Amino acid sequence: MKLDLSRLAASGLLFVAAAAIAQEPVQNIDPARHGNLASAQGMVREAYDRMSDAQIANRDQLGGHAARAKELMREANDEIKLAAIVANGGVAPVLPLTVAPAGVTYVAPTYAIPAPGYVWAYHPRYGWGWHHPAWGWHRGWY
Amino acid sequence: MKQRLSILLISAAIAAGASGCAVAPVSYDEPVLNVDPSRHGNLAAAQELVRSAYDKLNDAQYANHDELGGHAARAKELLREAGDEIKLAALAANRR
Repeated sequence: MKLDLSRLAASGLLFVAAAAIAQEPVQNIDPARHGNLASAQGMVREAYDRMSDAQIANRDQLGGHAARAKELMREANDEIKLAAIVANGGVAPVLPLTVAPAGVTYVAPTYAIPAPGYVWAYHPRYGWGWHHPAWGWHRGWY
Repeated sequence: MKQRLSILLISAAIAAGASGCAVAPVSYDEPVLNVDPSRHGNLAAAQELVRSAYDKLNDAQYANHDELGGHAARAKELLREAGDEIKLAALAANRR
């Protein structure tokens, strides 16, 4: 049992490290164990590639929305992996809501958490702020 | 007061339409397909894939008795936001 726990923790740490390094959605769910989740990951990856094609076709002049959509897809992909870990009976490691892009400096919360469930996260347009998974950005950021 | 507000909103909508400005898309609870595939093939395809992934997550939640630690729900919320951003990208492309 002790060994299982340590292996679980190690795999969790490896996943956190992989998620931090990966800049593009990766397919890392066994389709034989989690058909729906693996399919969802595959579709997210395809959608991400289509967005890359759209950026090239439009000479990257899509108002930053394509880049934001891709970032959201990457985060969704990570969450799908976490769902698979939970389905396997493991405890998913806590990931930051948003991994700040390279070169972005972390800024500590500038005001108190508005309500339980908010996470301090990086917004590509406005910078650091509070985000709730269901209610979105505090202060009405979009 | 209510009547004045209605007139103001209608005027703004007419002005936006006349000037060719795009009105911000409405945000939905689920990802919707609202990009014209004949104008933006890649963006429309991406939106369809996002919607399909969302549906697969619904299936996964059902199959796992909604016991996925909230991560499937969070992924669905992120995909919904991604769908909105794709629509905004299409609007930006239309303005070019």
